[in-house]
Amino acid sequence: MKAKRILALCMACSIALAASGCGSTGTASSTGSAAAASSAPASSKALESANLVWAGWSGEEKSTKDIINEMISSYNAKGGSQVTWVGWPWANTQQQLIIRNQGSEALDVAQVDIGMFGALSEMGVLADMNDLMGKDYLEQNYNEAALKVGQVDGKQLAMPWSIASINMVYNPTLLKSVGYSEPPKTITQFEDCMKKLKEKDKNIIPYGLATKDATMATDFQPWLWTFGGSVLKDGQPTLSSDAGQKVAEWYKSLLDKGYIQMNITRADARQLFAQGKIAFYDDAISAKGVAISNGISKADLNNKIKPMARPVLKDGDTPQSSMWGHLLVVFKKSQHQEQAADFIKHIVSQEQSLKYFNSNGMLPVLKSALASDAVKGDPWANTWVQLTQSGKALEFAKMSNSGELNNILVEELQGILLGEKKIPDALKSADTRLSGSLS
Amino acid sequence: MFQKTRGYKFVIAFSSITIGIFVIFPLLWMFNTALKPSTETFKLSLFFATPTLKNFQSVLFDKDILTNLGNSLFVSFVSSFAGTLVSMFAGFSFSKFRYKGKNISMSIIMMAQAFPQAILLLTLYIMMQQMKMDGSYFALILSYIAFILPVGTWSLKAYFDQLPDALIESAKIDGAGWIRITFQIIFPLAIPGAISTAIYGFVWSWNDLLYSLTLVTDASRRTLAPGLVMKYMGEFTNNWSQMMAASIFVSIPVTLIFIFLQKYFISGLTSGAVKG
Amino acid sequence: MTKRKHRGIRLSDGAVGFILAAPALAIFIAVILYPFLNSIFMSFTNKTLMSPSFKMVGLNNYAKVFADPTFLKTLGNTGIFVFFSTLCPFVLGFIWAVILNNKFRGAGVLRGITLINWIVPGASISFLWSFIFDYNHGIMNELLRSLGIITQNVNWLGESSTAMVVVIVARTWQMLPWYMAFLTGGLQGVPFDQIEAARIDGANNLKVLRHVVIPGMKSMITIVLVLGIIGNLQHFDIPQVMTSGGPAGATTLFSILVYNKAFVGYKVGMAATIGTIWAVLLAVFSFFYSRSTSKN
Repeated sequence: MKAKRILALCMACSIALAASGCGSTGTASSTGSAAAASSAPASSKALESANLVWAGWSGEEKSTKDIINEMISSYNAKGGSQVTWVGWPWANTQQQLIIRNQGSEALDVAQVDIGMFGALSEMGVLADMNDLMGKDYLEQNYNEAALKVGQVDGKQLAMPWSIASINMVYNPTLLKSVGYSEPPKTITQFEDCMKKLKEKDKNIIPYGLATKDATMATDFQPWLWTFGGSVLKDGQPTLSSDAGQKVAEWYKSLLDKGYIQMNITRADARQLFAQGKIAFYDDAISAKGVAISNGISKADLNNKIKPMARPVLKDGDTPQSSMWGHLLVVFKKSQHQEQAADFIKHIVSQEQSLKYFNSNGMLPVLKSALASDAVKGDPWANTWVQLTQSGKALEFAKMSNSGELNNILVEELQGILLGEKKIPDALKSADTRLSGSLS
Repeated sequence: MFQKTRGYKFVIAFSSITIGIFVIFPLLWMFNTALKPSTETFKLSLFFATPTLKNFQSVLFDKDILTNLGNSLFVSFVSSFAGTLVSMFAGFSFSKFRYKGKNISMSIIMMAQAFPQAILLLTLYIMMQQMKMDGSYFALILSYIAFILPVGTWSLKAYFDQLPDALIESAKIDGAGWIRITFQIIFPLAIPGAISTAIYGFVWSWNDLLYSLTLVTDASRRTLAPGLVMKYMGEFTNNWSQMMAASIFVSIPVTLIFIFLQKYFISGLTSGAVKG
Repeated sequence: MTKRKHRGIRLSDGAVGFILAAPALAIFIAVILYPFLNSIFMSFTNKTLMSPSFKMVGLNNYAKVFADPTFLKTLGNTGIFVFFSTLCPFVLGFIWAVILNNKFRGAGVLRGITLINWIVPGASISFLWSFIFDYNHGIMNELLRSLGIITQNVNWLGESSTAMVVVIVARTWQMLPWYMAFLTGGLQGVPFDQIEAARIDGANNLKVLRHVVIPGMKSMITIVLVLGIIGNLQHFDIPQVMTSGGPAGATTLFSILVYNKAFVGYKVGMAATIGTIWAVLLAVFSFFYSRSTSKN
């Protein structure tokens, strides 16, 4: 009886495996034909009208939906190619783009953030913008640092849409109340400021450092760089270095003194910051808009939120920050890559990008737009432009499994903070696990 | 069912209060959050400080949410009904018939629940795409039915097991054919069980996020779970007060349906299982 | 009369049974079987979503999974989560079903309201309970402090020891209605004449419960528990949104591990390996389970 059952299962297996063989030959032929179609020569000037699909998340979210729709309708109104939008939640976008690239579903342009770009570029599904727009054209017109974010091995696999680093913001009113009219410049001053804030009101969390989710890993790296370390050296994890040890000890001391708190996500930090319960936290350039939607009035903005350079170990060091931003990509499987590139030019054009900047504070990448009065005359944006100059790419940014690597880092850091593991043990374990997942 | 002794009354009173609070209080808290302006969400306060119906209004007049609601109701109804019907056939078969391959069929159906559904989706998506069935509701509903089957089949089998075989024997002696026995004699008796399965199937389809997100692309076909997440849980901000308002709002029609169904639930047994 | 309609081949009972089961089997084979077997096959490959090509790697993935120091922890977490998230809502749902089975006014409405818990999207439930147990502005800390049970706020989701408790509480709240619905169905199937007979024999409430009600619902209870266990093994939403498996991996479950491998690391081969191990564990569990019940 039992033997019979096993036999039947084996038979079912073999049938299905045979079927899977057929299935995979089917895909091979269909991708072959798609490739043939896309390599057809595209005319140089007058582009044939096409139907394009633009995927992403900003067209779904309440705060950006209208402006995205306007970008699309203003392009469609020109009478050429027609663009339709396909959206997912931000948190699922990378996963959905990758799944949909397994099949033959129509996709031309996508919005990705800097963390999603690595996996897509490694998949080899992205078209080279240098081919589509011309290298010279790109270099002449767009900000160099921004272009660099979308480059992999000499190819421009993504067009930057808005690039600015993640920096710290602070609450000037709170800082003034403990005698800091300027934000702290060194770590010693930073700790002193946090100490005074905590002494003044024990319900204040001086620093809303992310201690949860992937954000914890991305907040950690600039501090590690500040202490002179790095996660990877020549492709090998080096967390158990002196710098790693020091920054881990520093993290632990911040928690022990009540300067930071467990279970804080970026969203929590933003909320508590808007309520005046957090004095410092790390965020992107869009922090201002978030602060407004979290209840800080526009008039009060300058007293409640300001960007600052990350404190350094000793005077004269360069303040560290990690690069962040949104990019636009064209898929190789798109049958209308030229048209897709044309649409991208429309999105990043001076007119559209300044509209976007005005409504959501997202920095343009076009040189002429960056030099416009709208941007130059905005002190918030200016500080961000300056701080971005020394911004560095996060160390897992170009790896396909950056999310998995972030998770490992977060788990071990939480183990340290909660005192479940000794610091050297946790760092060593992080190194071993990271190198296991890097391969 | 039980005698109303003093001990019984005490136990019932005690549990009514504790479980009642456990069940109801969070719902009230949710309501409380939904009645506060979004900037107040994270303050520990009751809504009557600054009550607002704005969250409910913006949900009520949101065309996307209404479309999502309609889609979810449709998809969940169809998958729940079809899933329950197929499960009833299978449950009846597994309970009252003897044939070769029955045991292996039963364990095979259980397998659907034993493997992480997230991984199955990866193959399923490619499969549906090759058959050009992605994008429509077909793929989605078919997979929901498949995931209702194990629970439905097994719980309905348990239900049919409670019915005495003599029912079928005597019907056969009376000259009833299998179609009559199935639809007129056996199925009416299983209505309470069928409703439980149907509710299960409904909620399964209602709550699913990943399958719906992947198998349906068109915004006009989007169901509620992905729709709400997309709308309120953004890259920079999560609008929890509106998310709560929307969650309450969309629960109302479903709850009304469930309350209405209970009548059948109870009449199903008074006419069926009890007499049987 | 009926004979005329049945001209042609008269089906044997077994054939009728098979025909009844056929739609379910057909849907199963069409939707689940191939993806299922394909996934098992993938567990022996290094397939990732990054590239369409892959190599056979034998048992490498399995060796990797078992060598991972966090695997045992995840296994333990999953065991704790599944056990308590099945038992707690079962017991509470059973009592709640008994209470609402007393036909008092409003019982039906209360039952309907209870079902809301289960209809609310998982993301909202996660937020709701995170908010109730929030460190800085949660009502739970406020309540416990005013009752004098704690003097300092507890960081429920920030501590390894309490994060799992909160996740289980939220899951219990979500699933209580499900157990209630099924067990109500079971309760109403318990034959009244047997209860009355036991009563005449002088049985008290506890005896009626133990000797009549529970045995009468035995198959329903078994099913509900088995399905509850399997459902909890699959469950993903609440721990993912509330804790993302943290802090320090304290709430990482099999389902989260699989999801992270497949949809965060895009390593399909590894994800399928964990899925297969999980399916084998379940098969072993159900084998021993069915052997122990068939002996009775």
